[in-house]
Amino acid sequence: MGMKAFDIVLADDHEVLIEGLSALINSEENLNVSALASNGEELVKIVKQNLPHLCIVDLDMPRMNGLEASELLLKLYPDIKILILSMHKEKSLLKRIKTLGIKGYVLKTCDKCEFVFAINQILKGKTYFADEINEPFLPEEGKENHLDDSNLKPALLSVREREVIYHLCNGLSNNQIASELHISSKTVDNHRTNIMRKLDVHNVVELVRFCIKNGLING
Amino acid sequence: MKRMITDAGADVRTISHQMMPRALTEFGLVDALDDMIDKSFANGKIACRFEHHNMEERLPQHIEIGLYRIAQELINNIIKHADAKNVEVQLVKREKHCILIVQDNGKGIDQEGKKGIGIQNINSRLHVINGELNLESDSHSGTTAIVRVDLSKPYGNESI
Repeated sequence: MGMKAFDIVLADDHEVLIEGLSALINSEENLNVSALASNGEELVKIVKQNLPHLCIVDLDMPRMNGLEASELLLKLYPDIKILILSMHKEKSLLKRIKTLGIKGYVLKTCDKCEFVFAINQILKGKTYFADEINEPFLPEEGKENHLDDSNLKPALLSVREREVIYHLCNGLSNNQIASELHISSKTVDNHRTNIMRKLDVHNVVELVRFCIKNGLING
Repeated sequence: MKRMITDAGADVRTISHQMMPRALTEFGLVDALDDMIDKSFANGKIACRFEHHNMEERLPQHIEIGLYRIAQELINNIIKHADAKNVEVQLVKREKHCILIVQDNGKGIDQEGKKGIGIQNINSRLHVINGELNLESDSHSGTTAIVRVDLSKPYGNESI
């Protein structure tokens, strides 16, 4: 009673914003803002002195940005809970954040309800990533049926056709392949047509995909 | 007056951000291309699929930048001129080469298009990264641009 359960450190370089957030968090009965930081360096320093239950971190900060600071903190304290609060929506960023072991991400456009929910989820040991950026990575389109006969198709290829495939997957043009193999460009073209037919592919992208999937070329 | 200068500063910042997205320097070519493709085709009129193989390791910075800008140019060309419904982008690292394929099912490029400004930009980029472009195009099956970069030479033909 009277003792708030969780200490939170806030890091953001915008003074008005951080004051507002701080008031908002303190108005929750289980949450207490124990310190404020205006850049990444300060955040790390504060956390080293007194480990909070959660850090809420802005990404764009001077001196050390939020990502760098989080990375450093996670190295020092692998179990530390970090919630990122930012405007950025790039998928690459989300990927990076998850790889680092950051527990949550909310956009600065979120409402109070979502923000508090995210905080509590993370404090419970769960994760929270805002819907807007948390689209699942697209599953591989048109996932081929694993029971198909694609693994039998390469057996149909001649040695010459395999040579042509090797060069095609290396990005060579018909003319370049022709001079590489000392044959005419017309002959390369014929090989190419036959390869596409035998492997049931219709263009270079599909050819490369097939070859990688079936181990005809290595990576 | 002061306001105008501030705005100009903001514009320059935006432009330079477009030139060198954060993802490219921080996370590498694959993630940067992923973001760029997402943004370029965000209006949903053209479907684009991006795949990569054997790209776990970063490439030298000048090659990442070069390939990124070339992909951007090729994609801009497709959006402006190709009248395509589908685009495939493939990035594959082989023994000594990195191959970028950008393929569309549009109306193809004519001889004129092959000399256009976009292609000139690509050629000057290619020069720097030891790359070559192989363009296959016809009005039935669209255009396939294959960029091949030699990774065995650490530096390009000249530095810019």
